[in-house]
Amino acid sequence: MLFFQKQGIVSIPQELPRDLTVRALPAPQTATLPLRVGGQARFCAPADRQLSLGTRLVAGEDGFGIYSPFDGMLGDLSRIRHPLLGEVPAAAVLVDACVQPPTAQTVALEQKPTEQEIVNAARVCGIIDETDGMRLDEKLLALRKKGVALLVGDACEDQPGCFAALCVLRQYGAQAELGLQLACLATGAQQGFFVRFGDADERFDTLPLQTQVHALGCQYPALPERRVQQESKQPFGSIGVQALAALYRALAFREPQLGLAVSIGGEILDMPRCYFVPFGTALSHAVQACGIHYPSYTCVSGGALRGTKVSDAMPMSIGVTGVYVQENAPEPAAKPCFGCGACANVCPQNLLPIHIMKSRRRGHKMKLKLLHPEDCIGCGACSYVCPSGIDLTRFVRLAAQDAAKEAVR
Amino acid sequence: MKLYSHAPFVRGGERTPRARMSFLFAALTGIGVLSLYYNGPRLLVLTAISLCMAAAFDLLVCLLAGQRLRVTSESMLQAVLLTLFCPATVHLLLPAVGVAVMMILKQLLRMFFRQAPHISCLCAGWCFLAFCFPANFFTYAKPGVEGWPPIAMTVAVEKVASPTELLRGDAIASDFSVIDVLLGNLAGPMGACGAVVLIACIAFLCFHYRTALRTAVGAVLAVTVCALLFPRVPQELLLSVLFEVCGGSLLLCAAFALQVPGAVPLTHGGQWMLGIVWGLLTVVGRRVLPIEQAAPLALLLLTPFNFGFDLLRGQLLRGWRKFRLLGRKSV
Repeated sequence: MLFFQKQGIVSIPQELPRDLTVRALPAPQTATLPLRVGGQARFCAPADRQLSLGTRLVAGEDGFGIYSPFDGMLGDLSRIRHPLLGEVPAAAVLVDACVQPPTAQTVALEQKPTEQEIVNAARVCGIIDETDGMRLDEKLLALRKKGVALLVGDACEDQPGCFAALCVLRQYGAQAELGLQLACLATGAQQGFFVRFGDADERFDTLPLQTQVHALGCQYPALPERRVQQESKQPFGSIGVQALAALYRALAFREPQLGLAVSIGGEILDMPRCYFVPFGTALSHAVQACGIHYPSYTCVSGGALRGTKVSDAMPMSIGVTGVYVQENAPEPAAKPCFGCGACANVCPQNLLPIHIMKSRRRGHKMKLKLLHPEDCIGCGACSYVCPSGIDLTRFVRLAAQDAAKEAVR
Repeated sequence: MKLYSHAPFVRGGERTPRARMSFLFAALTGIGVLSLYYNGPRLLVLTAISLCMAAAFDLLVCLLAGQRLRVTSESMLQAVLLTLFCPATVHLLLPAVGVAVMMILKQLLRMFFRQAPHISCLCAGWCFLAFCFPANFFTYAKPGVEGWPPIAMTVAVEKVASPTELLRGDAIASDFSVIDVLLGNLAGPMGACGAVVLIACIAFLCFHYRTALRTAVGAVLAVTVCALLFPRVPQELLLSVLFEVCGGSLLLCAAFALQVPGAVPLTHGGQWMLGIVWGLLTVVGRRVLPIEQAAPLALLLLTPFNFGFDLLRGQLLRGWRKFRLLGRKSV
């Protein structure tokens, strides 16, 4: 039995009210589907270029598949520069209809699958773990090789505006639970449970699940891996809840992964919502569906504290489960540090961000070595609390880059 | 490595430096009113001279550097504090001399190290006055007995021992009671009157500006424990402890000297360490040197090590984490 202590750092208010149902997104007119497999693959679209839901577009040499989430006409193939994936091949699609959110029902499997069948299903259905962007089949094999005893279903989203994992746990909890059992079977783990962020929303207090759901307090950053590592005496692994639910659907309904539940949050939206977004849909399409009336806005992929600013034309892909939308306003200028120490006291890694920034600026290499900037996890808590508005996270990251370069030399 | 250069995109509603400084001035008003009651208008004259000196230095520096003329609230705060560390009977220009030394030191440190000073300039100014003008600086008189002339350069008074000086004898024989110590009717620096008010100031500042709470509590605890374990007047233990804690400018330093930017370590752990070491060093200073007002001196000696305290705390926590994770495998 694990015991989770309260170990948060910063209290960040979560925006309320918000819609917690995973909704269907209206079909976009066009889409650009990124086709990244992570190995040798061949393009296997139909010769007439007519697509229907679930048409296989790419087949990896090991059987990994990418499927069309749209009904429509396949356009040109090209290479695009994706802000998160880098340069990837992509297929343009003229869309007639798009995939709807998966059914939440569960059925009993005809027979207990073997570990190889589970891994094969994850591979063929092209399931990606949304928490780290890793292929689920490869991850299951890696976890088995490591000999994990505990498997954690990761539903922990602690940044403001991010709540997709919690919505999935609420709506597809039964499927995620069965997926966790299957993943335990495939990895040889003896025990599985879920972790979630201790969101103040009371609708998450009673989730209809038989598996334990551990809440990690209500403060940021929640850092589930570190907490499990500290409290458990056994080796463990973690898999995102969306991937677990998709794993169950792959075995029960032979359903490939065609999209992800993505939460769209931000104060300028009419209502923060969670949509099931087909891969390849432009970000602007999902944002407009939430009701935004600003002529100019900024989208942040991955949450307001750790995310990356992206263009709203970015096609949605694996690994994006939260988007934060804010008004397009210039950042206020930073004031000089007056030594309040707030940054040092919120750092979950016990670093001294302001000293790191000053040492880097003055070129004190020995001092920087003592300050360990490479331990930064990029949570952004230091910049969040700085009353002078200094972007400390950026300076610590730069110092970490310098340290990495120095180590290579 | 990916560089998340723009995150985070939301910021906390933390108070600005100016708002924090205003809380300090509000707390100073409390102790100022009490000190004015005991010391009369001479306190105002001394403070005004110190403020003028600090303002003149700030303006001069701006003029020499070719910057827009401005007077910083930090300089004003330090000038007021240094005045409060002096007795009311001090030479009229002495606090201004201390302020001048303090400002020069601050500018020299900024010039040569291109950074905010890592030593407490306030304590440096205090030490300059204490070591260069000890006769005038440590001549205390019981307030309320004399009517201090507000604008006389010097004031001739009958010297009275401060609470910590009384502890040097075998027995505590004084003409002020415990109530006097708590309410401020005793000999000592102008700002060190009224332990109750100073504790209220600490509580007020801790509520609005939490920085120095741990250092103040750590120092007071260390001095209390030392006074209990090794009392200077064992036959009057409680009075001895009370005089050690409430005398010798310890509470004044704990309330205000620590609030000056750069005076304390950044981390909570470092602040606790500084507090405890500061308290111990104060006790050593009082008994070994012996300087009864050893608290500002000890603080001056320790502030250069603030970074070291932070670093030590980080290393200890890192070591503790490694110890806890020892032998645990993870994926």
